[in-house]
Amino acid sequence: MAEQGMSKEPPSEPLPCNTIVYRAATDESWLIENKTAVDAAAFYRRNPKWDASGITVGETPYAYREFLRKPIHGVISIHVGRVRDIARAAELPEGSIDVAFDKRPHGNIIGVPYRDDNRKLAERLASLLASSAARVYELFDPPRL
Amino acid sequence: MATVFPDIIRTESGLTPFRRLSGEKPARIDLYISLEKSLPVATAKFLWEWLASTQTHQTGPLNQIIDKLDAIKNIDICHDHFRLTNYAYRTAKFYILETYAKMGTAFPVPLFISDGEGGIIIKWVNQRRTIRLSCRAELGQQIYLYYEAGNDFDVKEDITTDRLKRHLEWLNKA
Repeated sequence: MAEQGMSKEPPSEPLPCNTIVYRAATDESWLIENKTAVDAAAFYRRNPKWDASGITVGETPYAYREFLRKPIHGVISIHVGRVRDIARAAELPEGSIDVAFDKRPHGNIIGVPYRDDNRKLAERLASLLASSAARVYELFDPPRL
Repeated sequence: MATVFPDIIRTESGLTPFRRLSGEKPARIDLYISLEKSLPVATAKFLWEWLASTQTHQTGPLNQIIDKLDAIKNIDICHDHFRLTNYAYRTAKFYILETYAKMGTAFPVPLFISDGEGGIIIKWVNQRRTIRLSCRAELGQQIYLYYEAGNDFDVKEDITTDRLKRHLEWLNKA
């Protein structure tokens, strides 16, 4: 998701583990198994034009409306505690994968590399995020903003 | 019905797909023959007439896979940077056609998933085993394969169709 005119806010306290954040399903193919599950591709960190600070998430289910101008296919919910657990599952240092807000309601999943920087880790983290931390929160059929 | 001769297209591995359109609704039969040399025109015509005398409409697994890929290429999407590039589409089609030619009906049915940057992931899943072939948006970006089975996972680059075939055989053994 392109960030539009946002300035960073000062570092804040870590989010409680039971926090839920939300990601826009901008492509229908990210919703798999009859749209009951999320594919790993939803958690690729795309090139710096879109994902310079990390993988975009929103503070509320419809926060994406602050960042996007075109319809989406649904909303994915992400459990912050489970995102942190993924660092352990991927044998990374504690805290290396986390969620932080840079300009509320805009935030990022941080610590995921670009695929062209570390393919193996980027793919593994995408798999773990999709299978362990993400759920389909809401479907939009037809797509809408 | 008049016989319509197909396009004969040579591919890099010497396989020759035949394409036929018949009737009001387009139908397609793809026949793959390993060739050492170019197929003589007379032989091609004979084969085509033989095909024309059999069924007039078939929908095989390969056709369904290619149709699905074509549908993704032509879909009207909301976000332009998700649009599948011609390069990614051709890459995906190449791997499917060439690997299917080697495996036949053992070729597992894939899913197609946007990578969000104009590329496409060809994904195969069988129980706990997953393979993702990343067909990137642009020439110069590395095409690679990721496989995963529980905590066993790795990335392979320089993906030949023989290499993809071996991975798909591994997937089929799950």
